[in-house]
Amino acid sequence: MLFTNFNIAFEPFRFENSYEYFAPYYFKKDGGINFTYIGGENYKYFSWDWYRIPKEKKSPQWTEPFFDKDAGDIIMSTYSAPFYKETKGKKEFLGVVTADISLSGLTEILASLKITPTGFAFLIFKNGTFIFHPQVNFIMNETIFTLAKKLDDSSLKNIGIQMVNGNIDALTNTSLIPGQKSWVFFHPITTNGWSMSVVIPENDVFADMHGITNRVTLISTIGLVFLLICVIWISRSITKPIRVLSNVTDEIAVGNLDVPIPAIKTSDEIGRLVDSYIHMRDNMKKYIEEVIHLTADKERMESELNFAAQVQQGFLPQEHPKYLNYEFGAVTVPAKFVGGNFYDLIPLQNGHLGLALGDFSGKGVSQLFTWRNS
Amino acid sequence: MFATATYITLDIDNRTMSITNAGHFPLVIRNHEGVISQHGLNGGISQGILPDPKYQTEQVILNPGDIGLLYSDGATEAQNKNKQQFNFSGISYILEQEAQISPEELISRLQQ
Repeated sequence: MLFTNFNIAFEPFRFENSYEYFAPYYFKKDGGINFTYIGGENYKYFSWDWYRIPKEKKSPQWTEPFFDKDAGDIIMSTYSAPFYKETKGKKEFLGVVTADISLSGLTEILASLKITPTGFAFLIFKNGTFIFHPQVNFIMNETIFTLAKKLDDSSLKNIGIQMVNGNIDALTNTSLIPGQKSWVFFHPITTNGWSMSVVIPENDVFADMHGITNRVTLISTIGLVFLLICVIWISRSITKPIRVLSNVTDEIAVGNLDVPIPAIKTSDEIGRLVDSYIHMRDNMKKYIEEVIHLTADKERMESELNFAAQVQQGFLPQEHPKYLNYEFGAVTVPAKFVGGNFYDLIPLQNGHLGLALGDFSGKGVSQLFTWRNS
Repeated sequence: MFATATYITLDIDNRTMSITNAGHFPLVIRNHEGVISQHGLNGGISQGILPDPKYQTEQVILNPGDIGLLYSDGATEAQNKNKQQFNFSGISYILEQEAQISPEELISRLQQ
């Protein structure tokens, strides 16, 4: 911080009886230090704030910052302190000492404050005027309240009130950095009643956290995709032989027992299933061959039985003997191929006829000859 | 193994029958007046059970118009659609119904 101008301004006629105005003033101009006396009929400094307020308040005061054109348009603030003459324990006001202080150094410090990539600091005077703001045209031209009105932001107005009242707080705001939720931290500068604030967007605060979250999300997503691929791959590798078996089953169902069954030599259930399948297919082939064999046997037996039935039928009388006044009729209907009933009409000597009817227990082929032989 | 049998000798001219029954159904005769009688009821036991069985012989005299019928269990145990057996009552019913019928016709009736 740079002190540029100094001034000692006395009360009228207190420095010397002959001077109503006495205020020697050292100031910087054109690279050198200049001296002059200020005060006169056209600059009655007694009524100016920088003189009057410290006198009335009996305490040092900071004036509102201003642009000093002589010093090259730099922001200045004047520090004014009253001084007294003490005689016999009684203080008598003599005048005001001032020092103009360039705020360019302060603004440089504030401008260099890069807390976060998009965060910034600003400084306001006790009436809310921006002493520093990264937007240079605000400085000395806007107050936090006019800005709040322009942005139509009551929360910013509230922040301004809190800051002007010298409060310490951290409040949220969405208009200072448009489109982003920001935290506004403010703290008063107790010696001069100014208030400094730092605005930090929430995204910057949580950038690292968001970064971690994003990374975690990315890793989980990649993990999940990998898991999904694994699940699909495993399930496909399990279901593939089942699908092949399903096709094989369709072939077997329509009777194509020679369809090749893929050899899957695994020790799991699928491998065992395929083994069972091959076993089943081979057994089915064997059973079908047996059935064909049995059917052939059955056909041969039936033809033999038919022949036996014809032989049996041949044993029965083909023609009945004819006698006057007699009629004969007979029929045998075999229950199976070979019947158990027999009859015969046997012409005997001396005009006699034998009629015989027999019924064997059971109806088989073996009895056939038993009857005939007995 | 055993067998039932009926053996009849018929004297053609004297119309006399000698019936010997070995455990078989009796001979059924429907006479010319429609009366049904059974013969050979004291039939003895089936053949093949005792080593030397003895059988009685029954004499029956036939009259003109008499019908004789021998049958086996295939006739009595025949079942209709309702699983009812034909039985002897079925045979006698048929015989009562038919007055003048040839043996061939009788058999075809019984077969129905």
